[in-house]
Amino acid sequence: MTGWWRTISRIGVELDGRRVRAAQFQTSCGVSVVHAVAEVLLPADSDGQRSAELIAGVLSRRGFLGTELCVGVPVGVLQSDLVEVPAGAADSPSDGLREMFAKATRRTPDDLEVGFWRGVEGASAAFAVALSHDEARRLVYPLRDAGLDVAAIGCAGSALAEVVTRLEVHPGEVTGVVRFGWDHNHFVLLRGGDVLYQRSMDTPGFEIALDTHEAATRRATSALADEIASTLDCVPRTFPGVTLERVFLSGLLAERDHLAEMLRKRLVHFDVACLDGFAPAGSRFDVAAGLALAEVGP
Amino acid sequence: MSGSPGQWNLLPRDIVRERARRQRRALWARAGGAYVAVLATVCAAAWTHTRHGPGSARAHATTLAERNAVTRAAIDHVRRQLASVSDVLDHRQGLAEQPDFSVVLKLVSASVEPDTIIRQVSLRGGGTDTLRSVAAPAGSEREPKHFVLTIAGTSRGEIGVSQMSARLKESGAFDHVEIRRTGRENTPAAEGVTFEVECVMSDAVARGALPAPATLRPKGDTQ
Repeated sequence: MTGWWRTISRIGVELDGRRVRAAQFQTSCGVSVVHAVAEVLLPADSDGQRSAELIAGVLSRRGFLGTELCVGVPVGVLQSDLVEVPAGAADSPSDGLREMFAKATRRTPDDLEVGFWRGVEGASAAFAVALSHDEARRLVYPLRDAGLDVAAIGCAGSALAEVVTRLEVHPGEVTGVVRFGWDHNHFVLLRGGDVLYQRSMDTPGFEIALDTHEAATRRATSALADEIASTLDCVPRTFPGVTLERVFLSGLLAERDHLAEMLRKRLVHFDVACLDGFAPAGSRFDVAAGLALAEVGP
Repeated sequence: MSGSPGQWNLLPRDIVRERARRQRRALWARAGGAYVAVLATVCAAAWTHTRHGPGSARAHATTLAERNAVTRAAIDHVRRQLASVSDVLDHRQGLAEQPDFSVVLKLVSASVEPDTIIRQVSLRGGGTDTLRSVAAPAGSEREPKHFVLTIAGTSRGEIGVSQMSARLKESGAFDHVEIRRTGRENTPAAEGVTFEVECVMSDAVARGALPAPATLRPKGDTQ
């Protein structure tokens, strides 16, 4: 949606369990500023259609313009893997990836949409994701029936890559982002605008914040730090020559100072900071912001 | 989804195609609407130009000229009617403004001495140039009118004639009073003087300045 003096972005919508976050930006003279943000807590017994109508109502009331959405699916819905793609292979090995994911999920290749990032030049490893059409339709049709137009489907990794690129924080460097979600936390390894790796972690997400006991929080944080450290240990083996120095915290708990401090003490070899570039939206809207600002393909 | 963050989309291809078709339809609808709007604007401008353009101005001027001619004819007709009505009005006003000469007769009767006999009184209109200059001021648009009253009779003596003439002058009803002729008349019974007095009275005096008979002096009062 464009005007002659400004550009209004799509509405980026992050589906994070029962939490739904939306963000929209307006861009003028190359500068993007937040136009509207909203966070919806869906009822526990809400079905897809009721949730879609609830989301549409909130977006309408909170001043969002247009109905065009870019939806980020939860990491758990996606199939993702590091795949071996020879350096001399075609630029778009989507058919091979589709067949590979189809075999793994016992589907036909036409029932999947796949994508990949070849994050490191010359490396044979590429990170690929796949989403079945059934899952996509289960997501899109209720929103369409509620009057919303889903223009694209992305994931948290692609959205965070867009955010890191837009903020131009240490461009070109390999950056790790710990995303604190409602149900799960996940870790994304980025290089510029590419996703090198993305995985969902076993540590609980929002439960860390709910548990007010310091000892419990310390235990949960320690487990999270161990998992992050083990993930980071794999980086040099998977991507030879890549060095990781910086880890950003994003999401629900990123703004909790004590949590950042605990992680900083455990990850002493890394520079740990909060990813907060879209004030006043806050770090928890990072994924929604990345989905709103991304230029998606056809 | 490919290797660039600007190229990913996990939306199923059939939904993408359906959406693209919907967008194309919406685009064509908008373009059609814009075309219709432009067409309507052009037609409206052309219609306005046709209605208010130079050709229309000429036709409008012709219409105005025709209306002007009709109006002028109507004005001429009304003027003729007005002139006719004005003539009738002048005629009737002339009739209405005739002097009341009975007042003159009463004046003459009041001015005559008891030993004087009036034999003839005549009144005629018009007059000589001398009288006209007396009766009508210079530059008057209206034809100057005057009346000449001629009184002829017999008196016992010339004093009676003179007194009558003087009373007529003093009455102010006449512009000019003149004894035109006197002569002896001897009869077996008595001797007397015949006379003829001419009184000139202008139109203005005749219409408005005739004194009421009651204002005349009584007989014998020569003061």
